[in-house]
Amino acid sequence: MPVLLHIVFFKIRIFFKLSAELSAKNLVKHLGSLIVFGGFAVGAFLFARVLTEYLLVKAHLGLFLLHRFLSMLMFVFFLSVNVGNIIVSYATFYRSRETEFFLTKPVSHTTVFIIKFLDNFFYSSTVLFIVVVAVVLGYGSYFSMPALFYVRAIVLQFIPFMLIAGCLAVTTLMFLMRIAPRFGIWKVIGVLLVFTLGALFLYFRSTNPIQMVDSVMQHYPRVDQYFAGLDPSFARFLPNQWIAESLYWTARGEHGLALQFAIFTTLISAAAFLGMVLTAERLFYGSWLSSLALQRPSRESRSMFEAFSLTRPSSFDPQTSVILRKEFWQFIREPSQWIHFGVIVLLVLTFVGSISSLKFETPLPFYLTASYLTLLLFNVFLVSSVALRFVFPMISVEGQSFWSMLSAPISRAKIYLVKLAIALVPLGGIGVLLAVLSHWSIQHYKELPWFASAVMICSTMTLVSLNLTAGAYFSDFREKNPIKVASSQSATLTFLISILYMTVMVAIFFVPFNMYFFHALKGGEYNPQTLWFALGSFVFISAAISVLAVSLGLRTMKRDF
Amino acid sequence: MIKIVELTKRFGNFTAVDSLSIEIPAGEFYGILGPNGAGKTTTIKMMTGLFAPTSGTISIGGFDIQRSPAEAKRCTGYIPDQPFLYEKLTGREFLYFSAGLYSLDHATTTSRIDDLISAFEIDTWIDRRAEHYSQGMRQRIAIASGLLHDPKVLVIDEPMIGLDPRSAHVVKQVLKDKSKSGTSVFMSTHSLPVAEELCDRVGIVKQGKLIFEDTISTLHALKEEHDGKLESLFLELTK
Repeated sequence: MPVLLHIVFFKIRIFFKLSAELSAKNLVKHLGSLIVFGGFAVGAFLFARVLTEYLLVKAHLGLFLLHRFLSMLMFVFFLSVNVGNIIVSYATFYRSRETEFFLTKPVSHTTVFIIKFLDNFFYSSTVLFIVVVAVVLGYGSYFSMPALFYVRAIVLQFIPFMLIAGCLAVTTLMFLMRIAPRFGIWKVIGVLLVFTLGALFLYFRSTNPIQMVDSVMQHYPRVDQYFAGLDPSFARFLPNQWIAESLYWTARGEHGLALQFAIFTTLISAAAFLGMVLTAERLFYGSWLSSLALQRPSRESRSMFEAFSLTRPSSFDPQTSVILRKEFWQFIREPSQWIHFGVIVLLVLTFVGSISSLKFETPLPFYLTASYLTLLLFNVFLVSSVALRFVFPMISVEGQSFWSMLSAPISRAKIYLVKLAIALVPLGGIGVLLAVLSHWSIQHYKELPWFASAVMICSTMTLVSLNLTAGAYFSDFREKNPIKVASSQSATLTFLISILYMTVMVAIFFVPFNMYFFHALKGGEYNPQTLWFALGSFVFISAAISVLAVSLGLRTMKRDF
Repeated sequence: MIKIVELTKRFGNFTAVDSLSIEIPAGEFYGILGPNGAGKTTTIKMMTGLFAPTSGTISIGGFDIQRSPAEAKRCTGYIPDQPFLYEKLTGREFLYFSAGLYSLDHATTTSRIDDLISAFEIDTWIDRRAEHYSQGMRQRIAIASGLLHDPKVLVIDEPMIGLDPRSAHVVKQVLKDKSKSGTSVFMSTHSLPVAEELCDRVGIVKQGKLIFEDTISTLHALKEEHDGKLESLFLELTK
C-alpha cells in the first residue's frame, strides 16, 4: 500500500507540474480546451434539459418510458465504455514502457496493475465524465432537484456505473490476453466483436422499445406509473437499469427507494473492483507474459498489398513514391489506425444511408433553411472529425524516426506537401461522396448537389491543411500513439478553430439559403446570383485560410528537430 | 570536404556551440570528443540539417547546408546516436525507403542492400519489423542506411553504442575502408580507444568551444607526457 501511494503521489505531482508549465503555447492550449469542453458541457446540459422537457411535456411520454429509454441509452453507453476501455487498456497495460519499468522494480504485480488501471480509467473516462455531469445537471434542473441529488447521482451512481464498465473491461481483457496465444489474437477479437454486437442485438430484441411504448400508452394518461412487468427478467441485473430505476424513483419523489438503487450500484462497483484486483493477482502477470508471446517477431509475410511494397520498383519520383508507400504500410500495419478508420467509414455510410431517405418537406422556408444547413454542417463536421483523428497526428507519428527524412536530400516543403496530398485525396473523396449521397432525396433542388460538392471540396481543403499545420506546429515526436495525439489539448484547440470555421460557413449561407428556399416554396422575386455570391465568398475565405495554413505549415517544418 | 566556420548555436540564453571552426579534407577520419553536453550532437545535427545554426556556416562537398541543403545532404551519410527506425517497417523496407529519399534507382538499391546485408551479417532478421529489433540490430540498419548511397562524407554520432564485439569490429573495418577510399568521416564518440584506433585527427570540445585539435600522433605524444593513458589526458583537458 505505501508503494502504491508513493507512485500515485508522484504521478499526481508530474501531472500538475506538466499542467502548470507556463508558456504562451500552453496557455492557448489550456484556454482552447476549456472553451471546447465548456461548449460541449453547455451543449450536453441544454440538450438533456430540452429533451427531457420535450419528451415529458410535448410528447407526453411519461416518467416510466422516459427512464426506460434512458436505461437503453445507458446500456449502449455501458457497452461503449466497456469496449473503449478494452482497446485503451491493451495499450496501457501491455504495450507500455512504464509497465515494463515497474515490473523490473520490487513492486508487486497487483500494485503495478492498480496503478495502470487508475491511469487508464482517468485517461479514458474524463471526457465522458464531463458529459455525464452536464447531462445530470440538465436532467436535474428540469425537475428542480436539490443539490444533494447531483452529489448522489454523480458519486453514487454514475462514477460507480463507469467503474463497473471499466472493471469488467479490464477483467475481460486479462482473460482474453491469457487465451489469445492459444487461439490466435484475431479469433479472440472476433469473438469479442460478436459478443458485443450480440449483446446489443439481444438486449434490444428483448426490451422491444416499440412494444413497450404501445403497452404503456394503453394506460394513457397514467403513464407515470411503474410498469416493471414490461421489463425483461434479466434487466434487473444490468447496471443501466439500476441507474434508470434510481432516477425514476427520484423523479417520483421516492428518495428512499432511489437511494437503495444508488447504494446497490456503489456496492456492486466496489465488488467489481475487488473482483478485478483478485483476478489481476492471479492473471495480470501471466497475461502480460502472454502479450509478449503475441509480439513474437516473425518474417514479414507477403500480403494482398504486395503491389505497394517498398522493395518493388516504381515509375514515380522515388522520393514521393517511398513516402507514399511508407505512409501506407505504417497505416496498414497499425491496427488502431485501420480499425478506427473502418469504424468511421461505417459511421459515415450509416449516416449517408439514413440521410439519403430523409424527406425535407416543410412549408416553412426558415425550417427548411435550418434543416438544410444542419445537413451541410454535419457533412463538414464529419470531415473535420476524420481530419482531426487522422491528419492532425500525421507529423507527430513520424516520431524520432523523422531524422531519416529530415537528414535526406528532400526538402521539408516536399515532405509537407506529399503528406497534404495523402490526406486530401481520401478526405476529398469522402467529402464529395457525402455531398452527393446526402442530396439523394432532394435532387429536385438541382443546384444543391453541385453547391454542396463545391462546399465540401473547399472545406476539406481548409480543414486538412489546418489540421496538418496544427499537427506540425504542436508536434510531439515522443508520443507514438496517434489516438493520444488526436485527443491532446492542441488537437482540441484545432477542433475549436474548425468549429469557428463552420460557424463562419453558417453565417455566410444562412440568409442566401433562406431567400432561396423562400423562393422555392413561396415564389416571388429572387436573384439566383445571391447563392453563388455566397459560395464565392466561402471559397475565398476557405482558400485564404488554406493558403495561410499551408504557408504556416511550411514555416513550421523548418524548425529544429 | 567539410568546412565549418564560426559555427554557433544558441537555445535561448544557453550557447550549445560557440564559434566552432573545423576543416576536414577528403579521406580524413576526424573524431570529436568531449564530455556530455559539450555540443557534439548539436554540431552534428547542424551538419545534417536537423538544426539551423544561429550563426556561422557549414559547407559539405562544397555546398552550404543552409543555402543548398539538398546538394549538401546528397553527399552526406548520417548515422545518429539513437538509431530510431520506423517500427512498422522491416529493416529491408527501411533501407529501400532511405534509398528512395536519395533518389537511387531500384537496381542499384537492390545490389547495394544485398552487399550491406552481407557485410553487416543482418540477413537472418532483415525481414522482421523494426519494432522487434534490439538496439544493436537497429544500429546496424542505421549504419547500413547511412552508407547506402555511397556518400563522400560520413557524419556519425556514437557509432558503437549497443553493438556486440563482432558487430563493432565489422563497423570499424567498414569505416576504415570508407576513409581509405576517400570518404571524409566526422565522428563523435565517448570511446577513447575507438578514437585512438580510427581517427587521423581529433578535436576536443568543452562547453561548445574547441579546446584542442591535433593529429592522433600528437595526441599519442601528449599522453606519454602524462601517464601514458589517453583517459588521463582527456580528463586533464576537459577539467
